[in-house]
Amino acid sequence: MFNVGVKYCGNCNPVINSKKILDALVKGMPGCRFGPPDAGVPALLILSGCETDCATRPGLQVETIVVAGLSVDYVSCKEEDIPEIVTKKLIEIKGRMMA
Amino acid sequence: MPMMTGAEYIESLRKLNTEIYAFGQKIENFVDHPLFRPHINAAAVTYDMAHEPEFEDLVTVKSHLTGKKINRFTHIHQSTEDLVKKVKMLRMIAQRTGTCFQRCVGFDGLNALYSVTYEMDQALGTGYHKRFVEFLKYVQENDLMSAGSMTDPKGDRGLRPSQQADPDMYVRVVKKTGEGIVIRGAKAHQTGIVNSHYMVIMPTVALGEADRDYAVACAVPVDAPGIFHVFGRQTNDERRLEGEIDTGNARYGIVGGEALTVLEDVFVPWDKVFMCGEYQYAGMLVERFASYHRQNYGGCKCGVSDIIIGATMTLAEYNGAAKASHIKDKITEMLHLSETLYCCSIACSAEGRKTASGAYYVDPLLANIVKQNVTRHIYEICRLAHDIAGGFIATLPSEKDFLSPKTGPFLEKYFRGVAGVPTEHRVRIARLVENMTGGTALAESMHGAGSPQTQRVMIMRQSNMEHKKRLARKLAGIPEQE
Ligand SMILES: Cc1cc2nc3c(=O)[nH]c(=O)nc-3n(C[C@H](O)[C@H](O)[C@H](O)COP(=O)(O)OP(=O)(O)OC[C@H]3O[C@@H](n4cnc5c(N)ncnc54)[C@H](O)[C@@H]3O)c2cc1C
Repeated sequence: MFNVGVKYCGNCNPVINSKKILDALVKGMPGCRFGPPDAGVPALLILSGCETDCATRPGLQVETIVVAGLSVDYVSCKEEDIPEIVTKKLIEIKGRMMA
Repeated sequence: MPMMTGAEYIESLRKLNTEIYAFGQKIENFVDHPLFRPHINAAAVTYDMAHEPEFEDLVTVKSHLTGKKINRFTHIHQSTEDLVKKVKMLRMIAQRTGTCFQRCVGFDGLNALYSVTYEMDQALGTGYHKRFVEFLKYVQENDLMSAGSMTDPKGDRGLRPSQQADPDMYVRVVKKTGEGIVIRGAKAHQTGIVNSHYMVIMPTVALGEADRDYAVACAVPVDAPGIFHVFGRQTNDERRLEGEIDTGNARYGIVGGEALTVLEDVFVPWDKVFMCGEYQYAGMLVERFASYHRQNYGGCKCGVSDIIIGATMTLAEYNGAAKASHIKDKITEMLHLSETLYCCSIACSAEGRKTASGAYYVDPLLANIVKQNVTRHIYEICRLAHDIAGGFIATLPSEKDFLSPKTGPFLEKYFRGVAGVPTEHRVRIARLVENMTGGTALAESMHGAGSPQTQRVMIMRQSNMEHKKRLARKLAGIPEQE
């Protein structure tokens, strides 16, 4: 099982539904376990509701994917494309770690 | 070259061959001409303050490109702290000049181009960002002032650039060669352009495929062959040619000193071309530039308002009315309006975000709120200043009448306020209020950085309305699927 730490921003005025995005990821990636951003997780997923991206970082030096409003890793995208983009990135991270 | 001082900046302008026209004449020595010098002095403050330890934390910063200390006006924002410091710097400088110091427009153009060229290259495989970074290094190393040249004359506002009866109504590419491009058209209302080194040209509007030739961004020296500038008139500008007191702010003038800049087949080498035909990215560039520029107004206009409020309070004291409760209440209202602008600018900076290039961008919704408020609050601040100042700001005789042996003693006597304050002081403050609160100074708050409707379009677009509707439906007990 590949553990991914998830950190939300608090969602004061979100332009995306972060929970729905995570649900899609959980459903689409049965080989991944999405849980709290504890020490020891090999990857981190930041889910910020808007592009201000104010989620406090847990201070882990691990591969990180940043979803911030309508963007993934600071590249604009549509909300419905976010799970697919994140999935691709997680597969790449997993591949790098296996290599 | 290290950061320039104000004096070095002024000397650097003498080396240019900038072609300028005003009052129907070609201006030979604009640097020492009283029509232009106040604007040059105001821009020079941005250079001088970088050398004063008291202000350097705001006015200087470490370049992320070279690691060297540079003037913040040539910097690319690397954090929300940088965005906040920009606003504080603008307020602080405006408190010294009492007017536009012109350097923010080019600063915003550089920041907008930095992130947009990066994203354009990522999506289209073009190579603009690298070129742009080279130009930016040159700007930083030589501490250059660039004008931000976005607004086209636009002709018929109801038509797109490619639909205009005269195709030159928007700047466009008329020729491409192996060495570069040739552009034609004009840029309107160009703040500080006559005393800049470069102009950073960008499109004015989002463009479609038919407008491809108009999708052009580039940097050109303001004295390049084919360029000339026709200086705009300002309220009371001829007073500068007559004396000192009647201008109100003799050292720095009012507003920025705007010009119509004509580009008659100007050659631009490829290394200074940052967009050429990529019409899909014109809208993003306009939006980024506009949001950065709208961020500024709660900084500089708040600094200018600090002076207007100080002048109005001083005048109330000179008039003997300062203790009246309605005067105190009106001054409180002026403070409230002005600090509201500041709050908005700080907020859009603190809520800034990282772009793919690593540079930081303001929150566009809040930045548009800043500017929308400026189109109203500054008018109200000036209305209250007029109320408190009294009618003599509209009827004062000229400085020459105060100096005349026949009329001077009578004016001295009848324009006196409270005992102990020289009449001249009362007149000086009144002239400052008059010049800072009317005519050109007001129109700048309305249209500078875009007319109010352009902000309202952005506000609605960024409003996150679906979220608001969802929240309301949930509280009203309407099931989610509806
Ligand atoms: C003092 C000052 C300094 C400036 N400095 C700079 C500068 O340094 N660089 C720069 O590039 N620009 C600068 N500007 C230009 C500024 O951004 C423009 O003035 C502003 O964008 C408005 O454009 P306009 O003046 O052509 O007015 P217009 O566009 O003619 O607007 C007039 C009115 O018509 C409306 N309107 C216009 N077009 C349409 C349309 N298609 N549909 C519906 N309504 C429409 C507007 O909303 C507005 O109410 C400056 C302006 C001023 C006043």
